[in-house]
Amino acid sequence: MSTALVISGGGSKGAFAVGAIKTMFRQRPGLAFDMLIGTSTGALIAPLATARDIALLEQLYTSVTTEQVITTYNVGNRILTADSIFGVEPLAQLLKQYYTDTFFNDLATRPYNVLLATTCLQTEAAVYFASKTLNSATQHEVIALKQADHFRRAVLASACQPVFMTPIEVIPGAQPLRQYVDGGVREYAGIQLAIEQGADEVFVILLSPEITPPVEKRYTGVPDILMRTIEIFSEDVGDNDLQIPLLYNKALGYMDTVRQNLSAYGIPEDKITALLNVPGSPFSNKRSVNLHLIRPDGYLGGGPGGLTFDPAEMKGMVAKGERTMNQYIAGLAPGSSILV
Amino acid sequence: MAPVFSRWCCILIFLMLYAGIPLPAQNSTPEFPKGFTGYLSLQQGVVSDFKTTPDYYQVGFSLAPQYTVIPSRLRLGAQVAGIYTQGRWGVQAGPTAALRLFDMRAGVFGTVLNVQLTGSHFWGSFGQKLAGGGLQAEIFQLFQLAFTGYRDYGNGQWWLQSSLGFNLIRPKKKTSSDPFNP
Repeated sequence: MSTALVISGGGSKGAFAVGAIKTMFRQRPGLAFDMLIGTSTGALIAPLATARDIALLEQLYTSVTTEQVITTYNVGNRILTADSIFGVEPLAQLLKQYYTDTFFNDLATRPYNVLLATTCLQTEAAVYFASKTLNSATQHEVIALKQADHFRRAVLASACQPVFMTPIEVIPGAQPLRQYVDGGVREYAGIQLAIEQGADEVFVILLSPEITPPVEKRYTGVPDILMRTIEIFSEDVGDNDLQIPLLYNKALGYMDTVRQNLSAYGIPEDKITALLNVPGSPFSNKRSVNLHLIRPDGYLGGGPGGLTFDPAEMKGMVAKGERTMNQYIAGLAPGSSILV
Repeated sequence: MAPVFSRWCCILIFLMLYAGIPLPAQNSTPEFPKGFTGYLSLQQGVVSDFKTTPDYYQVGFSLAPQYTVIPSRLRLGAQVAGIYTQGRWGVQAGPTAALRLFDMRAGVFGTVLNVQLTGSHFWGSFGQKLAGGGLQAEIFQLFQLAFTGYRDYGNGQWWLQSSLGFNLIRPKKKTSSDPFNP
């Protein structure tokens, strides 16, 4: 039985994920995931999403302010002279403070793998940086990290929304040059990687609601329209990430039902397998995944792109995450999840 | 002459006192960063005593290096200008101060421009002694648009002018940045 926790991007809205994870550990104190996959703010959270570190995670996501994450400048000057609108030096300092060399060395010895989603500007590929080598082959580009500095850089790269934040060289000086930005450009949540790597039960925490209510306002300013467009793009990437695993799961469920029906008609198991395992079938030797989607039921706040880190608002998001997770667990049938 | 100079001193004292007021944290601004600016400006305007006609047209250029002595609040520096008016070229030079009043912001993205109150005193050719100041907008930390008025208490005239400037000591475009080693 392999379990994965997948956390999407969303800036300060990551506080919702922290609340949800906290509730999971409260529900099952011994809970340990085999894979922790994070994108953007999810990449900041994933390395600390353990029973041991959840208190620190909650403290960070209820106290950090915008000034501790990004630096603002004169916009026009930055566009003309820099590679991003915001500076991320404060976030880099936070990463140095909490993701120390000791932390990384300890992480590398732990039984689970932390995977950080990024997008490479040069190759356009979705690239995952991992705290250790994957156990099985992958169709994704995964780079196992060997140094703490590279780990911190990978976390930062995953969080750096392009244009707003600087692209990061995860391995400085590497040839050919590779700069990485927010994994959410390609994959909002790394669900497919979790399934590919054999996770039986996947908890996916998304930071946007399933149904986004219309924003009843007139968009008139360029920055406003730009941010709204990015929101729409992000939500579309997120929907697409979900659609494939959900469809895949439904198809596998359908195949299981067909298999059971054929068996009920007295057809021997070997014949059923021969009938269903058609060469080239994408479902051969696959089993359905127990996929849990946890997401807010409404807009969480956090400003455009989740770039406003307001401790009071984030405390509310943590509480909302706890509430949502409690409701989700209450709806689970006994034995249907490692949580119940 | 003395009362004009005293008023000028009062203005400077006011500017220094205002500049000394600590900025509230929420008013932190990327404008007026620590360091030098150096605006090269083209200026034009009129010289008038508001009694006789006609007024004299003036046109010229100026160079104003300044240093931010109180980040986000106050710059001090000097200005030297070459000005053509009344059929002759003259030179003016003297100290300047610029006090940041407020910014215009582009939402959460940061600032676009700042508006400054300026004060200067120039000594110039032909017995000119100018005291005054004005308002100027610094756009993208690269361009400057200023409207100023000076009393030439040496000749009993007023100098009203507008100018457009470009910051010669602008931040250079970086080829790469590393947040871990800024």
